Amino acid sequence: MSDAAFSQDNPMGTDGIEFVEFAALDPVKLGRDFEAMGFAKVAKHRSKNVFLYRQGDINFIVNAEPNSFAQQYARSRGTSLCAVALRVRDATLATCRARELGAWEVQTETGVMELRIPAFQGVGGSLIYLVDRYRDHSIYDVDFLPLEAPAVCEAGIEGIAELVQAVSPGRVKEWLDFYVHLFGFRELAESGPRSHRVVSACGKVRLRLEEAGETEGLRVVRLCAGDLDACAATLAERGVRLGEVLHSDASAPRVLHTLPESGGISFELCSTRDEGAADHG
Amino acid sequence: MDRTRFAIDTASLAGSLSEKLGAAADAGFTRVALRAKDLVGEQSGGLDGAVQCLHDSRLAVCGFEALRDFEGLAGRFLDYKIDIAKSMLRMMQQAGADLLLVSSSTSPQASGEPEVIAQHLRLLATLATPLGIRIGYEPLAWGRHVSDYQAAWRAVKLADRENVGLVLDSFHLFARGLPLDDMYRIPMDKLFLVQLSDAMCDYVPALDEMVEISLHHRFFPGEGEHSVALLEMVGRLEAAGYRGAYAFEVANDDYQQCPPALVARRAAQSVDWLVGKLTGGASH
Repeated sequence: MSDAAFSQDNPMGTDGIEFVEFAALDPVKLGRDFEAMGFAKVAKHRSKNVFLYRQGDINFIVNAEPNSFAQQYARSRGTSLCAVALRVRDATLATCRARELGAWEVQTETGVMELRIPAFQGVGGSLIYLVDRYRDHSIYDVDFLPLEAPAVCEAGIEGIAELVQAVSPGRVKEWLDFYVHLFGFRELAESGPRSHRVVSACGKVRLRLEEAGETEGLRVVRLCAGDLDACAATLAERGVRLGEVLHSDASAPRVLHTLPESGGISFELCSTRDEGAADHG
Repeated sequence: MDRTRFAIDTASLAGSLSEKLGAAADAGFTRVALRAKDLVGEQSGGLDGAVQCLHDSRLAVCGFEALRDFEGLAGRFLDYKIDIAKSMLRMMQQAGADLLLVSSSTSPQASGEPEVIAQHLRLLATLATPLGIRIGYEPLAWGRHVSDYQAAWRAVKLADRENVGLVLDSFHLFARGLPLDDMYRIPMDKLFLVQLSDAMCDYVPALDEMVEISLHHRFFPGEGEHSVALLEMVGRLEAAGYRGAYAFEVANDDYQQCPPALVARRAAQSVDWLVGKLTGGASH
């Protein structure tokens, strides 16, 4: 854990992304897609139809619980990213601070003996969770039951390099203000006239704000691999459709996978090394 | 000058929401400033019915009124006001309104500390951002700590948020009797809405009289003693680069006793008068 998580420059005490939650009209298919990408289905929620997929440092939650927030989200938007959980040093303190600053708290359904995770309104109706159990004990220890050792092998994907948020025209600056004011993010060197990047005070959460159509939301998850070529070869062997090199910037990500349902979400794949280098540029 | 930049405030018209909207649309308006009261007070179908009625009217909403006495409070009063703000923001989201009017506080409980006021404007900005809503801070002439455009602009600047800007009402501007020269130097992209109304008297009234006139005796531009001042103001705002909407905010007891169609037609004549004068003025 970095010292940045405890400094005064990091008032929310952020320390990376704990999990990303997906809403899917066909959760079984989404789970199979994740397995093909090297994610292992490691746990199931104790009381809900919710599964945890894991690879490297990444936790993906697929929420197929009927009438859940995620399922309502999927019905209105198709398969999409419906929540991001940020790791924070102290969720109670962070929640108080967030409330004082105008974060919009959302009540979530919690079952008996389940953890209540504070949730706030994020972009496009998505949620931002604050989680402080991620060191010795995790939230999964309480709410999830481990599944039998899964058969799938990892594909060498190590972490989430960046999330891309689609912003309606003219609203990039409003969202920059939001993340800077509320979460203590800072703006990175501009990457284009319609695209801005912010990074959390802990340096582990990166977000790219891109002007797109009128529908706002988290659209792209950029994953990183230590050995990009080997990872790409493994994924290709498993039948994951790999697209062209997308950007000409230093990190040169490949389009990994675009989920076909409307309003969907896409994944990009980049090299961990390139992604690190890009930040210093 | 484009007529569609003029809107009528639903407070100017009598009747149910559907009658008000119908009258506005029939008189040629394409947008309205909307009162939360009009949405919740709709007789049939509740809030959903009101929203449907608004969508059916095809009128755009250039402002949503009003969050009052918000900034400067503390403790449970602040919590209470945050709940009210959230309720209004949710209604706006349903109604497709993207500008919340926040009038400067008149509350004896409210702090006048500039940093506290800015902090509370930022709080609203943060609440409103996920919903795509902007915050328009409006100085009331009888505001306790912020009562003129200069103080309001200082608060907006201090808040330093992209989605926080100013809303200025000609009545409140003229009531204070301050020179308006500095107003035209405010970056016009931070002026989110201008409200216009005329008055029967051309002097700086005492406080209680000010409130009385404001709530009961306003006129449409061109009908009263402020006509020349209003023309000059709109002309100079246009010259300064203002490209937002002008909303007729005309609370008038007589108009509340008239059919909304008649009042909306008077409002449309006021638009004709303003556009005619301003276009004529530009051609010299």
